[in-house]
Amino acid sequence: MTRPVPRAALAPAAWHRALPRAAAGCAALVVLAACTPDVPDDQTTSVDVARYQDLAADPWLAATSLTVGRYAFGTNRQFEAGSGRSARTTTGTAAHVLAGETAAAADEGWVVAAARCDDAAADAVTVELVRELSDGSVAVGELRLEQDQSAAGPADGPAEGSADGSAVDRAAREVPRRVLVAAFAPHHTNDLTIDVPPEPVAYESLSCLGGSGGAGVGPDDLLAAVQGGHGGDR
Amino acid sequence: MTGRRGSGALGVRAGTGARSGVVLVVGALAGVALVVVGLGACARDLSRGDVLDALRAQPWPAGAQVEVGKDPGGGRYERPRASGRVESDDVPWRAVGAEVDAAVAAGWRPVYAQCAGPRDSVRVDLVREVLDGVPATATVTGEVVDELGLPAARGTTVVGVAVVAAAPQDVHDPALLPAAVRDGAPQVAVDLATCLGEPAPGAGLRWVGTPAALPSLGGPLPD
Repeated sequence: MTRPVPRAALAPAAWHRALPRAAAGCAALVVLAACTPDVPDDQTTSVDVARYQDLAADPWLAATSLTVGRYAFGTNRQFEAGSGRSARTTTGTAAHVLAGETAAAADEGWVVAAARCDDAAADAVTVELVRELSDGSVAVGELRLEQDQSAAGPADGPAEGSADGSAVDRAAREVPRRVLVAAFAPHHTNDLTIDVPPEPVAYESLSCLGGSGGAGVGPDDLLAAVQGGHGGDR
Repeated sequence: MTGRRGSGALGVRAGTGARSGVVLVVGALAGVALVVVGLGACARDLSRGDVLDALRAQPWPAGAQVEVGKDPGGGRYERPRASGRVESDDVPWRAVGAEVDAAVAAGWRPVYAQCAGPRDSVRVDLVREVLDGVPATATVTGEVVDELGLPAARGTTVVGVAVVAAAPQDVHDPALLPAAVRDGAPQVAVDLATCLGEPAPGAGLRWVGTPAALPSLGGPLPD
């Protein structure tokens, strides 16, 4: 059994132990605050706002989540691209859904620039598109079909030869598919040039869509290019 | 003479009284004006609490959860929002249509719709002011999902409503507001028959109008 210790007897010793710790904590906070770069004055300009509004008004993208190009907090003048994201559900084979999406996107000026099978064992596909914005800069769009995880199976019966449930067979099922759409507009400090191809890149023969065209077509650095942004030291 | 003198004296007194009356009236008016100006200067700026109260007072969506998050910093700010969710046995375009009808009856104006096949997801954006000068957007979506929330050919139609109102920062600087709710935007409602009528077999992705979904996180605004 422990005896209660009088508070008056503990207080001075506790203060002596706590004071150096508190002082050290305060000093650490001051040092951290001094080391954290200030938000730059030019983190978001009218250029970024105009690009944001271009993405916001895009009826194919139909973004519900939107961000304007801005400073990446805590970095040494690194910036984030503006972005827009949405999701919807469309029924069909993977190829049919992608064809409908890319045709609709083309009406708004998007051009297919690259595509890839996300995983050799899945029917998840990503198509990348590019679009010139109103100020001449180029946005990069991403159209992704989620892997079909429905337990119900095909709505219109199994596709031919689908007994083994391979990625190609899953892609050929006529099922509701979640379509994830995203687009990125470069920050105003991003001076990398992204070209809009004169013709859309053909992706229909990708292996995950049942073709023999390999697992990817087109450049694989579009997203990295649009998401970069730095303004040098100021 | 006396009478004239008297009259003159009375006239002087009467003139002095009139001038005093005018001075009194002017003084009273000036006082009232000062009080009005003073009250105006003391008027409280719009707060997010005001906008939250306005969202709570909306008749639609009924029973919505109204909330606002904490600002994450870096010039970004949370906008007041309300959300609701109902389930339906109907196909998405009919279930969304019923919800949109209720919204329109409550004063909301549809500005955008997007849809595809007969059982595919449907989305409609609507706008209105929840307070004088404070716009809000509502996005109504409907899709068929299974018990795990995954897209399904057979399942329950879930209709979601997401209302987001402009924050005081947006009222001060509308740079990040959708075009449909900025000053001078044409007050035209779109024809929803494109998406809320019986879809043609094999209909592809289609839309009408311009999206107007205000994200719940705003900023940073340009300097």
